[in-house]
Amino acid sequence: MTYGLLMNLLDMVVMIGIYSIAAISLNLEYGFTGLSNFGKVAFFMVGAYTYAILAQAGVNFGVCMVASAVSAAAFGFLVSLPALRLREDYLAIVTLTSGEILRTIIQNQGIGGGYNGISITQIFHFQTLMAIRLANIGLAFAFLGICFIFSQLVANSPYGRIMRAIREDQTAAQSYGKNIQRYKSQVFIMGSAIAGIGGALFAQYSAHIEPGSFLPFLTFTIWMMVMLGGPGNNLGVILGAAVVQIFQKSAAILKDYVHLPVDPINVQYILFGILIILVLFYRPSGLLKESPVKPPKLKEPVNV
Amino acid sequence: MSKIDPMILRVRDVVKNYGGLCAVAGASLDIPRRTTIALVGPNGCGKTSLLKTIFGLQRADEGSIYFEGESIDELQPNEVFDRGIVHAFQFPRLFNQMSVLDNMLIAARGNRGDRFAGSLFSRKKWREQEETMLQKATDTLKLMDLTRLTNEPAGSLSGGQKKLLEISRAIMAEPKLLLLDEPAAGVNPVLAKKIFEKIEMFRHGGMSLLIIEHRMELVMEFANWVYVMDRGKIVLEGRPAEVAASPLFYEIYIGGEPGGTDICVS
Ligand SMILES: Nc1ncnc2c1ncn2[C@@H]1O[C@H](COP(=O)(O)OP(=O)(O)O)[C@@H](O)[C@H]1O
Ligand SMILES: [Mg+2]
Repeated sequence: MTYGLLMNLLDMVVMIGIYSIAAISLNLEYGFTGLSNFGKVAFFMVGAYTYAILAQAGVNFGVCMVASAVSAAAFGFLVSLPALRLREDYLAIVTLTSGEILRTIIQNQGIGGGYNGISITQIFHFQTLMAIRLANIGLAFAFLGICFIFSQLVANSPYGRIMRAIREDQTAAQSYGKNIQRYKSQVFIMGSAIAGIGGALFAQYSAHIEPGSFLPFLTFTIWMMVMLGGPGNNLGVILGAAVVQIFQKSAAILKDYVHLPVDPINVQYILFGILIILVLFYRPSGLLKESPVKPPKLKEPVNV
Repeated sequence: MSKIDPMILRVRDVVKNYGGLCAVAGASLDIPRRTTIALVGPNGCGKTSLLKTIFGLQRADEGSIYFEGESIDELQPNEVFDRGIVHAFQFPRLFNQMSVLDNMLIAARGNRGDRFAGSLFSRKKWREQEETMLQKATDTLKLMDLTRLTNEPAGSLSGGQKKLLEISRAIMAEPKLLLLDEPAAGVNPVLAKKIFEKIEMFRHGGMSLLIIEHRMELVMEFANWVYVMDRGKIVLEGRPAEVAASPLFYEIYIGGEPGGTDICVS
């Protein structure tokens, strides 16, 4: 294996970690609660820019991370105020446009370097690229671990049961005393905070971000990870993130090593389309099925 | 009205319009504590509309509703639920991808783990609570002959079983007042009678009931008082036997005479 290929592979693993965090965030919203957030990239972007601007000002890493999560959560709360009161299809539209609006504002108002973006000093200053990439893998997966455990705890609690109930039938959930507006708002805030963490890690790793790094295609990619991996299953969406990322990156890597009559990137889009159709046909619930909320242990076994 | 209202529910001149259609045209009724009240009337006369309005699923255009002496006109369904009213839908609205057991546990009140902070930081407490709730859920499911299906997804149940689960779930919520919309519809007559007997058992625990029901033999046996609705208005009320003997009842209900066709008044 050549050094270049190895570096590409390590880069892919870092990105799997970061995308998995974004996928877990969408899974809380869509997979468990049924909230169609088509503006995931906006919350990712808020985290990334918060991190970049603060890091640039010399603020310490831990504070930058917390601030990124908090600012993305605050943005999520703001968007949730009008969006969650509307019908479900409007939520999709409001979230989709919020991402585009935010990107346009950053671009045209010169925030964070405007069109040219902003460069960030990385936190790892090792001699070799390999050491830096390995350290970034450790960092991304440490945060992924935290987000995963958090998400699992929430999803497998009575709170998570209510999230699923809202997804299944929100009128029925409301009829059983659940303040659905409050739950949806909270889930949106949680999901946004986690997306913000992903965005911050992305900024830290990329060392440079610009409005063009946050196109709606990123939202689409995260959705594919969730749909492919299995909505409502946190391990599933990580698997989905890995599969999608391997797919995307290997096409890019292939481009440098093999000479095909067509651009592998285009082949990738075609294969991707086919993959999605196959999954929807044969495994509509994704690669891994949703795991039920674990019921407490019975004192006496249920007579079957 | 004071807290010691002998009526658990008072409905006063409620009007509900859907666009130009007047579904409930000024209906009033009272439900004394610990009684079973039946609401009968031909299809489309506005029974379901009235029930949904009481529960806050839709707003009344006019009139007022008092529960335990307090107005509940402006409340959302979740707030009405918190006061102690539970509503079982005419067409079951279950959480289909969730297990029968999860459908039951959702209905339990006061779970600390229902709140975000509680779900993370009071794990020991809610685990204890869920044990008690689980016991209650399994007991109720057993009573309704659903034990075998405890871990099945609710969406896989048959129509009758869904109806049973809808009622079990409502009972799980320990209502002070239970609103049941045609609990016996779509289930066979033997099971229908069983459902009513079981509900009756729970009433002895102190619950009040407002039941929409078409089968007069069940109304005769289980209701303490009957309201008859026609074209959005309450047109007749009385003891079951009185109502059943009333010519007006036959006129509006089946457009026929006492002793006619499929209504059993034995
Ligand atoms: N959501 C609604 N929108 C418009 N019309 C409705 C709605 N719900 C019920 N109706 C109409 O209101 C009338 C009363 O319906 P409903 O209360 O369901 O009657 P019942 O339960 O007595 O059979 C019917 O004519 C029905 O078509
Ligand atoms: Mg009806």
